[in-house]
Amino acid sequence: MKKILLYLFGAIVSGLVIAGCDTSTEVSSPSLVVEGWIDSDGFPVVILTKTIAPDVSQATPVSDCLVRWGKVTISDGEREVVMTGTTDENYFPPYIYRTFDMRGKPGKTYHITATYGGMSVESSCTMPEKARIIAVDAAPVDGSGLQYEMSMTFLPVRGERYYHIITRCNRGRGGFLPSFMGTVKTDGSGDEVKVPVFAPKTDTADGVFSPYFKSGDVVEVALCTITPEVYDFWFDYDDVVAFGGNQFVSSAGNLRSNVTGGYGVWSAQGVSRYTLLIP
Amino acid sequence: MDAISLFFRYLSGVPLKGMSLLSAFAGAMTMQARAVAPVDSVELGEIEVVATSLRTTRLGDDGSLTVDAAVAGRTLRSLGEADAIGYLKLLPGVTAGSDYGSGLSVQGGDYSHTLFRINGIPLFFPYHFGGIFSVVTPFHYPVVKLEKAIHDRSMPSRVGALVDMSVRKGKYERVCGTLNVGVISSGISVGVPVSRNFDITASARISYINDLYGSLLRGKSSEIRYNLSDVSVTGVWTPTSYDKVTADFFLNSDHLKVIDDAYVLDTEMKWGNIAGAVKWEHAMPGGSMQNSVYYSGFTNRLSLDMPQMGLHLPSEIGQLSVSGVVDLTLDSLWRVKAGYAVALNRVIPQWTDVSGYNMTSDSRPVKEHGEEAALFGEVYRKLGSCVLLSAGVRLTGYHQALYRRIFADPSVTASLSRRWGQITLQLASYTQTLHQVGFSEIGMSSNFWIGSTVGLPAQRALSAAVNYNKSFCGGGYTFSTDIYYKRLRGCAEYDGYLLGLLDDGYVTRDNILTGKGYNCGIDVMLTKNTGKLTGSAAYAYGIARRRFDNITGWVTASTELRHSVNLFARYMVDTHWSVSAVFAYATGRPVTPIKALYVVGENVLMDYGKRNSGNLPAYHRLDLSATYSFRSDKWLPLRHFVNVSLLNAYGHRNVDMVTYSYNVDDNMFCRKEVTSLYRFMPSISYTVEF
Repeated sequence: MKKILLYLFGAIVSGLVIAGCDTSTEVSSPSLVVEGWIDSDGFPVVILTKTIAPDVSQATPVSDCLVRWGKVTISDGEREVVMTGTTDENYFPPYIYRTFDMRGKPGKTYHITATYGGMSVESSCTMPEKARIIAVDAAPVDGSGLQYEMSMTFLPVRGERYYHIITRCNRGRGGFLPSFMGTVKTDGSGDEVKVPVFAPKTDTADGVFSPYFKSGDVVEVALCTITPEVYDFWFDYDDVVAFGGNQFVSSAGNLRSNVTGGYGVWSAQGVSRYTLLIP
Repeated sequence: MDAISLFFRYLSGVPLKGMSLLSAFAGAMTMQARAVAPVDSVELGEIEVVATSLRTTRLGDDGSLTVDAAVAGRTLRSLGEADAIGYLKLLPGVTAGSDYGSGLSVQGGDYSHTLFRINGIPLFFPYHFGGIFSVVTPFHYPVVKLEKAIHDRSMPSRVGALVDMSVRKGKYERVCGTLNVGVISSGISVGVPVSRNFDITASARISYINDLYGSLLRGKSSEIRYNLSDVSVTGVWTPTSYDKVTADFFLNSDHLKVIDDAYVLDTEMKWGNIAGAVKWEHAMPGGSMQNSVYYSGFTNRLSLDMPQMGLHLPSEIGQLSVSGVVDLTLDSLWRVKAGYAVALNRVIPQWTDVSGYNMTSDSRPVKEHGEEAALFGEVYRKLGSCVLLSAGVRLTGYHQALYRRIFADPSVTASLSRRWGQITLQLASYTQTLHQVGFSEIGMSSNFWIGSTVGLPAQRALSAAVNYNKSFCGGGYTFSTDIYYKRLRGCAEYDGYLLGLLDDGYVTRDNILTGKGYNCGIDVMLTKNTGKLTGSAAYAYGIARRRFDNITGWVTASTELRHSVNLFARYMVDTHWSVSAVFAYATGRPVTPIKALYVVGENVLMDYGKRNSGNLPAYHRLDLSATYSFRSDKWLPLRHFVNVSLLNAYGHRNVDMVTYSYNVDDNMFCRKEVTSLYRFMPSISYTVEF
């Protein structure tokens, strides 16, 4: 009887241990990730990376996600150009694909294809017209005197509803980054719109995030007219960045993407820029 | 006249017809006295004999369980607070899902499937912050009855369990009460015999978290502020020995503010219940009648404020109801129970008030009105001395906007009482016309109620449940097991996310998935009731699956508790000291697993796998408690209790969330586990009873 009880106890403990295994992550084969854009009157840039399986180890070096030997081609329907990979510390991870052989023009559709190690992704995007920035203002945040909140007034393109704000600050790495809560959806009427412009919130930044800019900052603001598919990606991205760690609300989960076969976003965008020196 | 002498007067032929014996304790011992004599016989009715029970829990014939929360509260406490609902988590098949879980999932059901009532009034959110303890003061409502799956037809519109909390029966002979001083709040409950036939019980509790712990709740980049309060008042008027009128008032208010500089986000949540009721109970030959009217309301205000942008998500529900029930024993074989219930619901589902961000919301909340009326009846028939059969039906008519339905919920129940134990089987159908959905998976108050309409049909459940229980060794031990299978239709789950609310085309109902599912499993519990060492061992195995309109396929419900073990032991060292321990183990909560990490915009993003197809690491913790009690009679006869509790005694970090982030110093992606607050959570409290 004692033996039976011991066996039973052993079986229950083993069952519970097996049942108690942590399966909060699951292994998946890697896929390519595209963060790419071509601005109106600008040259295309693609940050090509790959996904990392979450349970390979507790900590994974960033270099594991780099794709240095991929083949990235861009086509505007008339010409196809192979982009060149190069190290660039202005971006994270610090390796990009670029070409100066193709310049963005509104109305054209840009198709991108990337392949690496048997993986392949592609995406297409038609570039909308750029909007017109009327003014970018900075006002001191109540009481601080050192921090400034920025706002932008712009004239949307009639019929184009979706916009994305990106900023570059002289304190930063050097590349433009998505502004915190940077997606804007207008009513499409073309009437003047005023929106806040926040500093980017990134995991790579040191210290506590502040959405404000500091006195003495030189801030370049770019207003991108984007397609609905690109807007969906950045909108979900905003939700994850703003509320991903909040215990009160659930965030968007998987981001909608216009990249087939992988993750990320490919955007052909009409871009207006404005530079402001914070007093 | 005490209860025992009444009992003997009754047996000796003193006419007490219709006399109501007011029992002094809920854990009352019911004794059936029947004398059958061939000549000059008199059939004695059924009376209750009342005695003080040392047990904190008592098992009913149908598997329902009654907890004396005031007695249980002398042992384990959270932050110095005794909590009636907290003790139910020791039972098999009952879980809050997480240390922060604000709700009880019973046998795999959703939180909203469980109905909480105080003196018959439903409470739509009976929790203070994070489910740490409930809004119900155990000294005011000490009698806590849990029915898991087997209910009679008077069960209101819910498809899950019933948690009924009520005041003690009986009249006060003198002013009595309890004063409790805990680490975060203090409360007082007083019972006053205002006159020969009128008693009042009043309780109030208020916290001082901000004042005492403000600095502790301030982190490097975040700050938490929280206050709670609750008030309960119950008046009982017994104008005649046949009639009793009870009036209740309940109010609670909670205010939580989280300032998080890392997210530049101030999250503020205010919530509260307000409820009131009048109930008339009338004893009549062979039975009783009860009529009541109540109003119960719940409001929640969730605000998220960022620079230049504010998002306010209010929601509320109010229910006004009139109901009645007649319970008649026709003869020694037949009994009938019948009644009605009419309820008017006014619901404001979550809506959005946005300011800034290029938006000035001019939307106003849409009040939704639903009406529900039910008629029910159940007939009980004894077969011999050991079999009781019952059959009944509940007809519910429901209307909201264009949605009009009549639901019939029949039930058949059989109970067999033999030497080898008591077994109860029930086949029944249940209907629930209200849904609760929202952003939070752990049932925070921001999850909002919404009525059934076209596109979001009423929830229906087809339930098969068996309870077997047996006492042995002279009542020293009790064994109980439940086997259940419940098929669900019309289950709801929220599929929206916060920024989606900013979309001008946002419609709340478009973001609610509806589908079907099932829960099945087994609960087993062995209890030792007597001796210096008392306690219980419980094990539950459950499966809960859902399928939402072919969108998700079959997925695990977030409330599934595959395996759980609860061990509770209490040792009375001497007349002053008692020590107790609780060990809880459970399979980790179902979560949607992270499949892949990637980087865009210098942020680490995650790709998730199939909904709820993974589990968090197993949950386990040990809670210890010691209570010292003594009496003093200098001015007043007082009983003092000093309780010291240590939750999570071995400091296990139970994981509540798994995420990944980037470590700037190491240039690595790192796994980050968000763990529970409950790490070595000690508390001390002092309670005096007079």
